[in-house]
Amino acid sequence: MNKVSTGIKGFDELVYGGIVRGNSVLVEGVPGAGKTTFGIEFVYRGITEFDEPGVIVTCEELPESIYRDALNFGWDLRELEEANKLRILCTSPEVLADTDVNLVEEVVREVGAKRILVDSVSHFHVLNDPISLRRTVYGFCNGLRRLGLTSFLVKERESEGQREYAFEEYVVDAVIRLENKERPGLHRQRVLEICKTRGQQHIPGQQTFSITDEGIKVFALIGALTSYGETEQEIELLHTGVPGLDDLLKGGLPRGITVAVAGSSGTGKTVLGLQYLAKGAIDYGEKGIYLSLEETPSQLLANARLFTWNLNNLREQGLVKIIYRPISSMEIDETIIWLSETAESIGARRLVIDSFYGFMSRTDNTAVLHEKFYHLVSYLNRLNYTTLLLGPSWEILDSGKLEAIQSTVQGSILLKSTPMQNRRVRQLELYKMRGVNHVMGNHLLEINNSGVQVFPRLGG
Amino acid sequence: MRKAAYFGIEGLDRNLGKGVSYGSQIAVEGDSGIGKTVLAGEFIKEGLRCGDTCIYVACDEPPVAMREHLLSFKVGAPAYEEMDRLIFIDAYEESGSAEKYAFSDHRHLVKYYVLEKEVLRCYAGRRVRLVVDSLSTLLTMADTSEVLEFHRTRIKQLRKSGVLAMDIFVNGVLEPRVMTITNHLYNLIIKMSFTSSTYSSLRQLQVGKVKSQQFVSSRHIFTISPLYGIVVAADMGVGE
Amino acid sequence: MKNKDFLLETIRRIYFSMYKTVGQLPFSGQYWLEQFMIEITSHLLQDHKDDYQFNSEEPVDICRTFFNFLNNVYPNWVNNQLEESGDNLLVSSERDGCIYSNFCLQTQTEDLPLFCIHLGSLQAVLRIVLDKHYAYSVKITEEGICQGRLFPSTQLKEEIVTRQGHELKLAGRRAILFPKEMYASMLMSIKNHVPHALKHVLYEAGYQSGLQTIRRVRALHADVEECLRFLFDALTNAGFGRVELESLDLTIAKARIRCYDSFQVVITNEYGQLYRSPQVICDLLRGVFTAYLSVLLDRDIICEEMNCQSVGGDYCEFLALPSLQEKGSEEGTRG
Repeated sequence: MNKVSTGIKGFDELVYGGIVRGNSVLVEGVPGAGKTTFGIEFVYRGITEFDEPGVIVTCEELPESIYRDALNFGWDLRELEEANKLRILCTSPEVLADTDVNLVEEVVREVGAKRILVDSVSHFHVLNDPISLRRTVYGFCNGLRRLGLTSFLVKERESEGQREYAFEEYVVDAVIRLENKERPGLHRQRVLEICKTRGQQHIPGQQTFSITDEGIKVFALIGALTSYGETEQEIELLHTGVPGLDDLLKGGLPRGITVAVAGSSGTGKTVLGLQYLAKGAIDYGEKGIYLSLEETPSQLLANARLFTWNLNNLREQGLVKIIYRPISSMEIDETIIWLSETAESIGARRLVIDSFYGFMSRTDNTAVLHEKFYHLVSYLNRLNYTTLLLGPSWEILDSGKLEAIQSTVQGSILLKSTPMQNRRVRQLELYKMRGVNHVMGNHLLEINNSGVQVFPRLGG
Repeated sequence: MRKAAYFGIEGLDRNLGKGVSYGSQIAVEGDSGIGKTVLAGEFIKEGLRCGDTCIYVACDEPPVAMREHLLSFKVGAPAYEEMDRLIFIDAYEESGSAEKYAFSDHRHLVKYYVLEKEVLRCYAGRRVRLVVDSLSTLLTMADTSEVLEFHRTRIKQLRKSGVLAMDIFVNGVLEPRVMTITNHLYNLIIKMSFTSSTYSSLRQLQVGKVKSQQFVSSRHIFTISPLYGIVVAADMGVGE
Repeated sequence: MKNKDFLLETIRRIYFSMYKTVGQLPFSGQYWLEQFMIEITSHLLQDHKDDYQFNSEEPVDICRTFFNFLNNVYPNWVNNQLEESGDNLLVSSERDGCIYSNFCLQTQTEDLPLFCIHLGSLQAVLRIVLDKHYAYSVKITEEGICQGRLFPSTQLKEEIVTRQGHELKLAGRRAILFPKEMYASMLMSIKNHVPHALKHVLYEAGYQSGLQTIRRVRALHADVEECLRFLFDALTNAGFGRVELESLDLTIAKARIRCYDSFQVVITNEYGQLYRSPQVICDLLRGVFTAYLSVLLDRDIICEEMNCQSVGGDYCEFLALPSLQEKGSEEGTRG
């Protein structure tokens, strides 16, 4: 199948590589949803990244405003026009619809265009007769296909709630809906959904995206997942750097898995997480990232000051990076993709996310949560990061949430504080560890100035 | 690597034939004051002379007591410690031990096990003698099932790592039932006791092993000389 | 005067042959040359006792008288200048004018230590007349001037074996020299009779004899290391093996000593193991070193043999440290 990569970050993965060549794609959404930017980027990336000249037809904006808006993203359209790679056509729907004029055909031939953006087809509605309207649009789309063009057609929608199955949806080959939704936590979120694709598969569901300085960026863990093939690797064991724990694990954690570390506060999970990164850096030369959704870096550093490994030094040497993202400003997909990009940029191998409770607070829908966790874990695993997902004691989670986390991670380590001989002792249990014949039961855990140490139960 | 080891006590070694092999465990049981630590000292002195790395776990007295004991026989601990051939684990001081290795939390046997394993791991590949003086002190706070689990796990580990271990038990500290089960785990058992003769109290030691629930041993009369340490009377009262 | 040249040449040849030969003798060869010088000089003085008169007890006068006497007997035999400088006597001359310059040059070409016959004869005269031990040093400047210095010596010739009648003496004390068979037999006897005592006997024997030696020698050396090296040379010369001081740290009283081909090892190799299992066996040397270092460093030192040639080492290796180190003080100062 001949596909056209849009070049829009994160989008092509949703359609398994791109749009079928010659197809017409309707991009619809409320004003300000980012439709025009989406369309312009499609054309711009075509020219600059795939050497496919393009045409932008606008019935709405003046070319100047298009130039200006594009320049905000660093896209110099004028330059492309001068290089004969792009034509911007400012016209009216009537002219477009007039098959005799063939204005479009002319400019397409001029530059040898392969992509076209029409902004917007809403203006076709000025032709009031529904039947002729439908015929007109159909003919227009066919005309574009005949010219070998892959087209993005922009269409306004009045409001979010409105859900009219307009005829365009039947005429075009694919429909992308852009929204700017309200989300819990008093902030808006851009969402993209592919509603239909003809002749090809797409990943369903709503995906968040944002408009960055460099254009559109779709955050779709599931989309990103498909771009990393299942890698068949030798199971390599990674030493946790926690004395005793590796013994329980019969050597260490298999690289590229995600392990939940659950325990109420004071059971040592933050220390364990920090130590995992610090020892990883000191003893095994592996860089790591601590993503904190709760404590600030200074709180974490203060916490780590009690231990012999100097976290601050490691941080200054760039071996351990601490990132703080308060829960309120966080979207799961966006955060995880961003985390993985940061990890890639510094070459980190170990990640700690503190805590997964932060993600849980984003939604009450356990089905969504389950899916999010599944994507999160699969994504980080595919990238071969070995991740500790810190979180609260399992007792405080309801069964649905517990199930969502338990069923997606490859391992769970439970940290507890248990009364014994008139005092409390800390204990660690390897609740589950896929692929590892681990030692069962509760093991003594102590925190001293070198960090967490586990004493494997005798006779285990 | 040489396999046979001796105690460095002529009268005893003579009766050991080909000696004790590395990877064996020796239990030394005896009344307090009978000379178990002196025996341990002999075992260590012999080990040091033979090029072994000796690890002494001091539970009943501070490590310095053993250092002084060795010195009284003109054996200088500092040189061996400097070369990492003599290692002390201080399991005596409650806190603030000046030793490199110390163990004070007697509530958790598992912590001792981990420390011992860690220390042994540092000297893997060497011929190692390990003396725990006394192991019974370490076990006092643990319940029976814990003690047995500890023994099983630890002795398996010691055997695997080829360590020649001497565990000292003070008579009467552990329950007889525990001692009976414990004895089965050791390759060689030395029981030291006072025995009364017509004129005076004598020291005797029995060397043997448990075979089908029976302690099969040979008996020796010994004295403790300030110059030579344990001197086993030449073939006097040997055998049953 | 062909005859005279030949005679002088013969004298030089005799001196040189003696000098070379004594270097191969056991126990300090240099000392034997001194002995020869004393013999030669005393015969000379005896045979010519009417030709000189020692009128003063001053070393410088005695030396002058001796040189004048020589020049009277044989014109221009000596052309050295004599000068007093405190206890020391400074003796200088031009080498080219020296009657023994050929001997001197020959020792240099054969890489032997400098030995000056003139200074040696003065050393002998002072010994004969005053019964005082003098040592000398000599160096030759680039201009070819010999600058000698005679000074009172306290150096003990610890390794010198002499025989007076049936008495063999080592450094003046009665000594015996016996072959290894006898030593080995003694050890084997101890082993058979009191096996548990053997290592203690060896250590104690070494320690006690070491104490005797170090107590006599200690005062003669200001420098600890110099003294130790002197003692080790003496042990080497006496046949204990080649003993070397590998390192000495006075601040922490730590010494590393090596002994190559220890006599104990050789005996064990030939006469069988001393102990049931292969182990370090040089307790005698260990005892000696313990005694030496304890006295020299003025604290309780104990020396251990860490590796032995008898168990496969290239040499026997000893490590000496203070016998009880204060645990904790180290950490304390570090923190």
